[in-house]
Amino acid sequence: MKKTGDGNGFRPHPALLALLDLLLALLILLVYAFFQYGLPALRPAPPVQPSPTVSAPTQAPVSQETPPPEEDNRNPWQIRFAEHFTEETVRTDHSYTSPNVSVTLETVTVGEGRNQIVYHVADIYVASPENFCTYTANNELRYYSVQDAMEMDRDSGAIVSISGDQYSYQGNGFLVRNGQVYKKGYAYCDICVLFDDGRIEMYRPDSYNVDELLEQGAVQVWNFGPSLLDENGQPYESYSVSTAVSFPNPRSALGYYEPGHYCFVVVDGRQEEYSKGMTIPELAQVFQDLGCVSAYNLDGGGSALMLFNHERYSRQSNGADRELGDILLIKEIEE
Amino acid sequence: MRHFKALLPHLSIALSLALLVLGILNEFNPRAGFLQGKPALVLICLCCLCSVAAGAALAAANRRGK
Repeated sequence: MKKTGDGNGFRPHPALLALLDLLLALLILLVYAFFQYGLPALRPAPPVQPSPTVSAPTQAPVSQETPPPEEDNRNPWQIRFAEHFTEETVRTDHSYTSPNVSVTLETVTVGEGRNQIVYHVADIYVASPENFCTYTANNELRYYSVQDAMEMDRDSGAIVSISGDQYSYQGNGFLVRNGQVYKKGYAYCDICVLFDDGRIEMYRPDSYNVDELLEQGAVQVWNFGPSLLDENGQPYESYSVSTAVSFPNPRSALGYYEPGHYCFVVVDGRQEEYSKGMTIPELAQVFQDLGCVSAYNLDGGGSALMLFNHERYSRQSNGADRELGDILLIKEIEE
Repeated sequence: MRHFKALLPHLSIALSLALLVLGILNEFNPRAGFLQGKPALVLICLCCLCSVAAGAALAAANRRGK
């Protein structure tokens, strides 16, 4: 404290005032953090409701002209994707096939040296929408709940899994996991919806009604984005993403061909001489080249990860599994 | 009232600093919703109110000074 010459009292040193201002700012941030993140975390988790039954596609109408063999009780997806399924479960280092699931993995390298990019594609066929689900950390829907990705992969019984949208760190939005509604708020980003008939659709913010989507059978709603392809399956001219996200980065994304046929793409990045990562337009181009009709960007960066047969298939940028809020996965349906 | 007037500029500085921090964090991780929701809205409104009050007090003081 410094005393003024005219004797009007003590006038704090400007440096002390600046320090007090900083401390006040810190206090404000702490109060803000409590109300924004701490208080919601203290609230009890939503009651666990039984997941709605996701019905497998029903038998196709029997045509009188070409009656199917009587013993053929396969559903339409099993018939449609029959060439991809096998009678017995067959596992290799890069594929998994069974009567209900087909997953084929491929690692693609483009460019060389410092511009090299490595990405992994999992081409997926399933016999039922139930084969495609999400697993949330610690098998609960809770704010800030995270778990080691490998643990989640094992706990869920996944055949192949990728990092999700980090739902547990999202303060707002419209979030549904396996038919259970976690948040019914406004999403400030494109949302991706998986319906119980296997369709995947993307919606711009403000272009949907939450209740209508739930009535239509939304079983998964992811909030991250952006949506990568337009209604014609072409990349957009530009993407609205923050500066930090716009640079080449590790990526995790979901592609959609038709009900029952999907793909997961994970791009390795931030690793010099191995893979620098991709920008959002580059990622969109990958999905266009794959022939997807729509695609959706999920949480990338240090979270981007693909696991197959309970092993790491992609190479995470930070060298170790980051704890994640959720994963998207393909699994066999438990009888 | 005199103390409150003296506090206003510092409150404005602190609130602005807090918002700057949140703005930077939001740029790096927009999905965390640092500038979304009611607490953020309250913070922004408080900052605006303090700035307006501090500005008005300063303008009035300048006028008296003339």
